[in-house]
Amino acid sequence: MTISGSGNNVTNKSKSILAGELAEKITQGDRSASNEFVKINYQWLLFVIRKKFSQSNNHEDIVQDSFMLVINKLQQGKIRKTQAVLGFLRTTAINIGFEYLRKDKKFKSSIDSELINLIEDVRDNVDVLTNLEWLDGIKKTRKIIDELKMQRDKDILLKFYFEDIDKASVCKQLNLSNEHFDRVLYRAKHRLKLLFYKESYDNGYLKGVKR
Amino acid sequence: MDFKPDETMLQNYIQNKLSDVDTEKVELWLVDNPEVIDDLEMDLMIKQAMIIEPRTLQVKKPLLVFLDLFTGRKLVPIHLLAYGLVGLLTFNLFNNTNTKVQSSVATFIEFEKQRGLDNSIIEVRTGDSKSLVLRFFPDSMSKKYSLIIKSKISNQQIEFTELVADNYGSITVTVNTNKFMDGRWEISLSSGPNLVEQYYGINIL
Repeated sequence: MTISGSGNNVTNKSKSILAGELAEKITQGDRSASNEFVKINYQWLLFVIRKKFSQSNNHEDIVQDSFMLVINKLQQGKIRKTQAVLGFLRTTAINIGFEYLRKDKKFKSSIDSELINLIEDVRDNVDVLTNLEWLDGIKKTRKIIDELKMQRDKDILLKFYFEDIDKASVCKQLNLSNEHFDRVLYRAKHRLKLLFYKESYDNGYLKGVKR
Repeated sequence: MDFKPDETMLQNYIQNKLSDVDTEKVELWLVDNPEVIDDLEMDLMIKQAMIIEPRTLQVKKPLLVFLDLFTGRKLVPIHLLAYGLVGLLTFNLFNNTNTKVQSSVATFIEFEKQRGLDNSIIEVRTGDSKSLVLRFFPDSMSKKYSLIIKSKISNQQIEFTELVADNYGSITVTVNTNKFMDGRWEISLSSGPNLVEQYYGINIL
């Protein structure tokens, strides 16, 4: 895991501040702000939901419903603290995710079709892995792991990702240096990124290639 | 917001070890750090590749013998099972080579910590698997747990008692797949005689 993010979070205008401003514009009736609001937050929310509901296959639907519900509430002036809209968006998405799992069916929202079209249009143009690409990526990851030549490298991944053993304990158990551990994780992730890049390049499009 | 997670915190995040409050902090921090999301996505993909979809892993016979000890209605000293799994799985987990030793296959399913869920159904294709290894994360801290796996279409029931969580707060049980007939099964995890705290569902295909 590489940390290269800013601690202060204010670079020109951070996404979180921008999201608050866009939420305020949506509240004031600026419909074009909705497009930008979805666009800048889509990847983030999709990641949060993929992690939270790893067993679900409805990640994109959950995210879409969440945006629809939050934007609808903003349009109706029901969210007063627009600067905290991302916290609300996240909580809404998690609740909808539970709703999907509980009912084993799509969340039913009473949102207008114009908003649905808007979010779907944005989604189609946002640079994220679709559900199919994500599932395909998981298969590719298995292949990469199976192809690792060193049993110890497999053991590292197994202990860290399956058994959830912390890095220090994995290193101690396998008599590894921190550098060796980092190298194995880096190589696995790097190979995965290359695979995505190559596949997208071969297919002649860049959607889904972020790295 | 001056919050910035360190490497250990991000590792704990990807391993689902953070509190709800810290998880929210990390996720709101990620909004302004999309390059970290890019990296964490790869971690998540590797983790899901190893856990999420019921997966078949080649393991040699000794593991099956070991697992048979914990099948059916027997009491399960879970720490022993977990310890054994660590030792044996790490040794044989990815062994796909053509070995002369007859291999058996286990399917691993991890039930995510999902508070309040009562109808989460996971579809499981057992295929050639001879064992199902099920891992749970109880909400509450209890010394002992009970687990009942009950068929929705027959009276068949598999029960585990005296289960103890491992150091990671998880409970793992193993059941021979021949104990399961196709169809839906309800799994209830209890921390006391009448204290069912979590329900799960699996659909054997």
